[in-house]
Amino acid sequence: MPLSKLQALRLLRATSTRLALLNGAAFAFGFAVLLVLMVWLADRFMTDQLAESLDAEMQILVADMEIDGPEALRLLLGLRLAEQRSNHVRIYRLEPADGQGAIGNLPQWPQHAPAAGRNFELDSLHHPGQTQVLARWEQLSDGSRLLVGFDEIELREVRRKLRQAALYGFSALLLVSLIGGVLLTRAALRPVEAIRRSAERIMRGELDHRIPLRNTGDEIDRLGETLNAMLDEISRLITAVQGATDSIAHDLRSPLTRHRARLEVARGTSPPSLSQWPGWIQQNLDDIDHVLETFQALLRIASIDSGALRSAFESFDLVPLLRDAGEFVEPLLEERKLELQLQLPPRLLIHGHRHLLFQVVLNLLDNAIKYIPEGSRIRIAANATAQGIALSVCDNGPGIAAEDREKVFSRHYRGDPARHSTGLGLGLSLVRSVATLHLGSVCITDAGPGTCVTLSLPLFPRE
Amino acid sequence: MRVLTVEDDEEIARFLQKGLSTAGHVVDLANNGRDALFLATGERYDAIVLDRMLPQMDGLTLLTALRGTGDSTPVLLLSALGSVDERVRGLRAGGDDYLVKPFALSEVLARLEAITRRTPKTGVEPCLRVADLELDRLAHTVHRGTQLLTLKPQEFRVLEFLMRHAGQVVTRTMLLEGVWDYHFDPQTNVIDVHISRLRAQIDREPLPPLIHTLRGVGYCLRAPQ
Repeated sequence: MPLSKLQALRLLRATSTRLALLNGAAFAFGFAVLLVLMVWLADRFMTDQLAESLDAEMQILVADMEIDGPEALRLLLGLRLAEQRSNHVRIYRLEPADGQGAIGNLPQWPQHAPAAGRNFELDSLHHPGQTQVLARWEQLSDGSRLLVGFDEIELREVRRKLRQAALYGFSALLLVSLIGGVLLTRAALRPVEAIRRSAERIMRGELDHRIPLRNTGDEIDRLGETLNAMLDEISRLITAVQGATDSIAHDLRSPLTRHRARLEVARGTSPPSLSQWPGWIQQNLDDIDHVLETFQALLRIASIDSGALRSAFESFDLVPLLRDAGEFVEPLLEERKLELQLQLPPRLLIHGHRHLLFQVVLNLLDNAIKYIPEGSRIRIAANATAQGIALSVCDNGPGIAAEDREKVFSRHYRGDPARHSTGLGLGLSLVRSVATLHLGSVCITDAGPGTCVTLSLPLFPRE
Repeated sequence: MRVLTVEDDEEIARFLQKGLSTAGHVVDLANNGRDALFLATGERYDAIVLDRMLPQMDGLTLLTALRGTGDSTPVLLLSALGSVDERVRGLRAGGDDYLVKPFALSEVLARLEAITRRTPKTGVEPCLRVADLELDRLAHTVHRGTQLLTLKPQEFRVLEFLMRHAGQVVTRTMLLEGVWDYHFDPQTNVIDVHISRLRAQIDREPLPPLIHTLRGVGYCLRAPQ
């Protein structure tokens, strides 16, 4: 079903968007985890820090009292109270044992204060409702109580700024990763779009068009290569089918015309006499049989050319097959006083189509037997080569003229048109098809004098 | 013989019916798979001639169904599909022989005879005998009367095939399929030459000939009347 350009573009966009989103989401998640962890750690660090500062301050004040006495402590507290800043608020209250003459910026002793030396939270005096004050108190040696508190306003401010920074950073990163992702996937999917466009052109009938390759060797380039190879194979098959159709038309038309003419003559001007009748019928039957045989042979070549028969390949020894073929034609050789020589190794393993190779050898022998004079010699030779197997059928007959050597493989060639042979003129054509099926080749050379047809077959034809 | 012929092409069906009746067989016709299965399971036939491509029920499906009921009536398959693979499929489904269209009537008759005579022998008899011709499979010898004949291995195999089907018509394609272990098209009259060489050995004057040629059909090896 052909996709419209718009639909296809939308699909592509959807794919790329999805990829970009997925990529962005994964990235954002990772970054968010990192940020939360960082903020949480900083928060904890600052809270600990505040507690430590409170502890240190308390120790300083207690030490001051121990060393310099209550008056010095009062003086120091006075100094401390004077240097308060808005974001650095501290709370002090020194209360003598009798509760009279307390100093400090905390108006009264908190009611819920726990035992001495333990940290607790107080409501902030300066920022009520917004922050808390971390506080603790100690009993001093003269019986008075000292309370110190640090407002958490500073901590709160830093925490807020940290969170804000994290949020901004996160947003910026999300944006960058999304845009980058979209651009990246777009770039990665552009070759896919190119392949789609090529496919569309081929669908529109430009059968020779191929997917442009960028020679980067990446997966998409390799996909393009494979698709191109597939397209080549398809057009080869189309050509083969067309060739077969042409051959069928060519080969069947003339005998059918002959047949028709004979019937027409029989109906009209000169019907066969009663004594001619059996012969006449036989003639017509022979004609039809010839048509059917030709048809079958052409179909066979077409099916070989399609390459589907490779599924029937098996491994076997070629030597007995060659001996069988020689034995099969022996009566014909004897009839024409020909001599057959076999030059074969003891064993020659091959991976191929057993029945077709037998037919090939038979066709080659048949050709030789038909075209060489009585008393000549035919030689079947086979041996292993670096590329695989070389199989040749040679004779010492008249040979084939160099300019005709390629022509004999075409579907309708007959060596000598004057000579009536029973063959269909398809013998060598089939030989070539079978060689191609085995990914091998066939060539005709001069055996000086004579003809040598050699098949070169790879040992293990790989697709 | 009572033969069920399953063929949807009316003209071919009539041609088969006429040919088989002329040869002395009783023919029932079915033109689709369902009728054929009904007839085949309800009646007793000596053989079935079955077209592969049928309306309603494919020939192979019908054959598989028939064999599934335990019916072992010999079946000759007819088909326009002639590749080796198709042939193998046909025989695997339970067909006894496979004939590619177009076919000669004589070929159908010869093959029907061959598949109905095929007896399920367990062991292979060491000796085949027709009149005074004797073939020993184990010793690999052939005698005509007291005369020992020297045959080439190939001639021996051809003769063995003919003797196994003694009294039956053996067509050229049956010989090709039965004697040589390759599926191929000889393209020439080489089979005739093989037979004539064999005949020169066996039917020497003035002995009565055993191998007979049936023009346009094939060969028959039989004892003289």
